[in-house]
Amino acid sequence: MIGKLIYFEIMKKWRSAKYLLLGYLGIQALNLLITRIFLWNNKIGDAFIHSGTAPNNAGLPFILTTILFFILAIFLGAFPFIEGIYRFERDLSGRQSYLELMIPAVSWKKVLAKLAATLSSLIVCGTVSLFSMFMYVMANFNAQAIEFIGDIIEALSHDWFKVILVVLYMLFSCAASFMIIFFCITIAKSFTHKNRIAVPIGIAAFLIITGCTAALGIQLDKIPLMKFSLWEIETSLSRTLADIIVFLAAIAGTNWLMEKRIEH
Amino acid sequence: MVILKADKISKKYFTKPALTDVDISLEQGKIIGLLGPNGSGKTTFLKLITGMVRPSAGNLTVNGFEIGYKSKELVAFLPDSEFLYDWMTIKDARDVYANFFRDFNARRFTELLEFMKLTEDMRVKSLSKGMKEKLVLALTLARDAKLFVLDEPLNGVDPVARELILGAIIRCFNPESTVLVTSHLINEIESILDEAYFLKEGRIVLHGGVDNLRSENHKSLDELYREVFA
Repeated sequence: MIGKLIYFEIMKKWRSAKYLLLGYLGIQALNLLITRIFLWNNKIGDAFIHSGTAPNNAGLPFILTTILFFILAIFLGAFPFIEGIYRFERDLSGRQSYLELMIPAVSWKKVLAKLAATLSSLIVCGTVSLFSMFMYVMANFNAQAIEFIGDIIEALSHDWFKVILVVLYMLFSCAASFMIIFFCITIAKSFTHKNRIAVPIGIAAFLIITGCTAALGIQLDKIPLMKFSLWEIETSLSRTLADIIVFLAAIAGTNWLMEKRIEH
Repeated sequence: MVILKADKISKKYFTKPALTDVDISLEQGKIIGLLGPNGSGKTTFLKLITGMVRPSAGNLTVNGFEIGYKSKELVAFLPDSEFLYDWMTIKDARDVYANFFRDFNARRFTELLEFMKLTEDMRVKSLSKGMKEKLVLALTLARDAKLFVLDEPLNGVDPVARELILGAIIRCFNPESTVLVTSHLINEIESILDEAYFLKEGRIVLHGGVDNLRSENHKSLDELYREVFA
């Protein structure tokens, strides 16, 4: 059942976001083309220096196009986060919530499916966003920038195990953040479906929960069980275990509220 | 065999009672009408059966199961509002039902689509209200469920579509299942009902076999409805 639920969630995300993704790729390709025309000979400095005779003087249009490019790339990276929250809220109280509540599956499976789909969407959109930024740098900036990126990739390639650990750690952090937000939305919706009241309740719940977990983290840092670092990320076994417990508690709480309190 | 048993069910929204001490027992092989005006608690009762809301008091079981994901496997629900995604085609909707409901009968769904004059490539977004009503009815009736719960299936559809919808309900009726249907259009629905419950202000005020109600009161169900709810 959980596989079917994940497939359904991914299909919902794909159907609602495919035009946005295609539109993004189209606009960014156009942006890239425009900036390439301005910087035909790869001299970025020429774009800003008005010499009167320089054919590649781009100035303001180049800056605007670049800003637009990066704003869109950042928006695409943030899109799964916004869409995931919106979709979860709609699935609990929107027009389609009948279908969601009708599906004969335990709530924690539905929640995990939504989480998995949101993380998948984050990975896809994040990768496309980073890749498009990389393409931009490759196309427009000088050899030094490309060499710098190359050096980073080479440094990473020496320790793939650590890379995988960091990626997993980051994914878990994202999953835990999403799960806490889902839990807060469910708390709010278990009181009322009226957004005028539900949104402040959800925000208050989020502030309380994040405040409590931060306080717990500070206390745990005073008595770390086993300290370790993943590049610049300093953490400990006790902190990691606490994060896992908070994550599981958020799933259990969301499941309980969906089973016992959420009504259409 | 009793499919649905509601024992002293009450439901309050904050302090406002929607249902009070409702006792309903639905037997296998019958089409039962839950009749009452707007705000009488019909939809609330159907939502209780399908697990969309929870009772404030009382017990409710479907085929012996408390309301939960197991009872949802046994109940096919047609809500009174649209719930399919606009991006779906009829084929997508069919796939969703086939994936999630083990009792979904794809062959019957195809037959029902033909009967309703719909095709699988149609988009939900492009369907009229009546066509959407036919589609969700086809999805609901294509299940081999124990209990069919139909909330106002004739609402907002033209007389020709109403006939088609009633025809589809009769066509798919299985003596091993039970159909619970609500409607304001008593005249239209009277002919298919075996039993009727009259719900007024959250309480059952009259109940009986449709033939008995007619012969005892010397009135049609529609006339009786007007008398009870006047």
